[in-house]
Amino acid sequence: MYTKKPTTPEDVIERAYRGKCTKEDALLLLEGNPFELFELANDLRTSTVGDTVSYVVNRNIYITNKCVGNCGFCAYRTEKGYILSVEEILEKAGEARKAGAVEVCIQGGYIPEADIEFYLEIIESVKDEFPDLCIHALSPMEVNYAAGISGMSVEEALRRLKKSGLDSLTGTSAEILSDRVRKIICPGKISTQQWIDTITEAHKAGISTNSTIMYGHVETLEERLDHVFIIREIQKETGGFTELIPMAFLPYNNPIGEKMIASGKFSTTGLEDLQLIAISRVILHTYVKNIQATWVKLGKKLAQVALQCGANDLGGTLMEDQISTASGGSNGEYVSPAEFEWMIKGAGRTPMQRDTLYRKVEPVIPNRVDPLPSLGKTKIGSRD
Amino acid sequence: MNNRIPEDLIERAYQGKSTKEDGLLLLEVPPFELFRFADELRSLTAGDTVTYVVNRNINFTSRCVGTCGFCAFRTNDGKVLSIEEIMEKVREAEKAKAIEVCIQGGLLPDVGLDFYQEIAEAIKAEFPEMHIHAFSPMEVYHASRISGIKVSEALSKLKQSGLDTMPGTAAEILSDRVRKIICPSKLRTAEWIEVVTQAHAAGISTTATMMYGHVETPEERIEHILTIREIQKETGGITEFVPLPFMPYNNPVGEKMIREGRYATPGLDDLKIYAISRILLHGHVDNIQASWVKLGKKLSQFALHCGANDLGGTLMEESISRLAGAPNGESISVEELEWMIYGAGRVPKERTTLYKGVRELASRNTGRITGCGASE
Repeated sequence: MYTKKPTTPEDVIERAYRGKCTKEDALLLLEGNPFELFELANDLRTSTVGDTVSYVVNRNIYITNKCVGNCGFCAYRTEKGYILSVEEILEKAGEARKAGAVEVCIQGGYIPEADIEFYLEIIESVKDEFPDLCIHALSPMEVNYAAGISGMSVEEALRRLKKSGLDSLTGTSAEILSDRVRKIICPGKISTQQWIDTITEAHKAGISTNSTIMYGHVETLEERLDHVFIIREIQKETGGFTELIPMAFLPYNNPIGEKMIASGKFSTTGLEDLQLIAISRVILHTYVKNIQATWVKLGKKLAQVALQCGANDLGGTLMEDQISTASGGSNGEYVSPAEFEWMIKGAGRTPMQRDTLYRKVEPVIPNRVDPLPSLGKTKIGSRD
Repeated sequence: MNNRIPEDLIERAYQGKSTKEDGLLLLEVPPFELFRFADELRSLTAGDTVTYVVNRNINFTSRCVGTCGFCAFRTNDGKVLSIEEIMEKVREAEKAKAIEVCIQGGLLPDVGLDFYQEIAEAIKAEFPEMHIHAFSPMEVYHASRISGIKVSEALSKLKQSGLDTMPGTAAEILSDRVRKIICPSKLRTAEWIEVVTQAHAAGISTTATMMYGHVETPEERIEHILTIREIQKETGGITEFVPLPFMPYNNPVGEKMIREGRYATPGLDDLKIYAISRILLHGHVDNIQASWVKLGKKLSQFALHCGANDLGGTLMEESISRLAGAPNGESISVEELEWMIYGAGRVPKERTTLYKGVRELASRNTGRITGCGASE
């Protein structure tokens, strides 16, 4: 006869609630019944953020798709790319503002032309013209590289970036925080320790950041978990992370992915994606409040299910996406506020527009009206 | 974490006697409890095997005199594939080790039954082993009318010509209230039931589908599933049930919905439908297919934990969903299907249209061409 006997040991659950989940606990939870893990993660999410699900009206702006890096998982980088001028960036920021965006997310490849002064000019210009826009920009990789070119320390670079108006640094270029993995997939990138140091310094300089994990390639399950525990350790020290964004690796149009597929390994399954979101919620409970389910990587349907498995944020409207699209992401470049609200209410939850720092904002444009319906089809700055 | 599904509901479900009220109640139960129960029933019925079929879609025309408001595929003057062009596609399918061709198309104004018979005969003449899964109840109904013959006679002739099974499409929602809004010129609920029942009587098994997530109510969805159950009780001819979420792009019904702030069904709703289908049909229809075209690969894989035991076909090409906005590609490789299935801790098995086991691991077959036609 069908009965539901929980199989997760009491002490594991107890430690989870106290924010003391161990690695062994996490492995056990992942081996057990997935629904038990999801229920636990869902409970922890409820006790942390209640029924609210947030999203941000933002815009991605890619400074350049040229890059001297050699990450094997990248399908975006190109030899003969573009570099946006400050005017072009301001134009995109202006469009975003008109469409009700509260944040611009500015990133790109790292190149010799992009030294610290280059970034300072962009940030200052955007802040000057749009003092209300949150500038969520760059990554530890770009900062390290540019600081090197400009001959200054990372600390100094961060200080100047903050002074110019950088509100938040993105926590990308994390990939997997394991040097063994980085050696295989992105040997030219900053090391695990450099990433940790840069983030920590950013937090100490008063620049909050989010955190990411790009999983589903050559890493082991243990390495995935170690990564999340590293995030927890940093957070214990600085409290500067706003959220964690698990990002499923998209294996198309890049060497790492092609090798994987040739050996019969494909994108992470939906189950795996949900399990990582759930276990992240458990591991980071009482430390990092927000776990984002990214629709760009997971698709809208799975991202919405993730709201039942520990996630409490759906990311941004984006208006543009080139990186995931190049790697085979087929989920589009834009989701309207109205569609976010549909997804969130469908999960029985309460939608909330937020800014980069996870503060609630009043919608600038009423949600019903799709502000820039043409934006979903924008192909600005393509590979040509 | 209490078990909140009432004992008597569980009891009825085991006996294959779930009621409409049971269905409605299950919609309100905490989702993971619902999924676990559906998963249990799936395990009882299908064990750890998850099946898929190596097949090919062939849409012989997009021209259609129908007026379905949810369609993004129909054109006014699309090309009609010749028999030779169809045969080319069948040859490609055969080279790619497909064992089934799934053939459907728009309703052409003047073609009678002989048009459809010709297709089946041509295929069977060159590929006697190829399974022909073709022509929806709407197409059969339409062709019968044009030829001025009874549906039962049409079905018998089609079977003689080589038709093996029929897709149970054109079902949409089996409710005349809904059909009046979304597809007023389509065959009505009773007519669909009649065609499918007669097909079963003629020895032609069918699948059964439900296209949900537009104007229908939750009750109408449940009634649809129970209608399928009733047919199955009578004929036993349904091989599988395939819930299909509506794609609201590039069609009038969808555009209206989006203007009203209603979008594609959220993933959670999709999973609930799969789970409830499993529960309501337990003991009657053994196979619940999660369509990767509609749900996406990630969600369809997770649906294996919520009642589904089949992942559909490799397809090689697909236009109907793609044009309505489905972003999930037109074909999938056997290797990827098996990856998804193993990832769920289950055992992949290639099946035939009729769900007879074929071979354990199709990917181990050498000489397999992994599909032609557009993929991601």
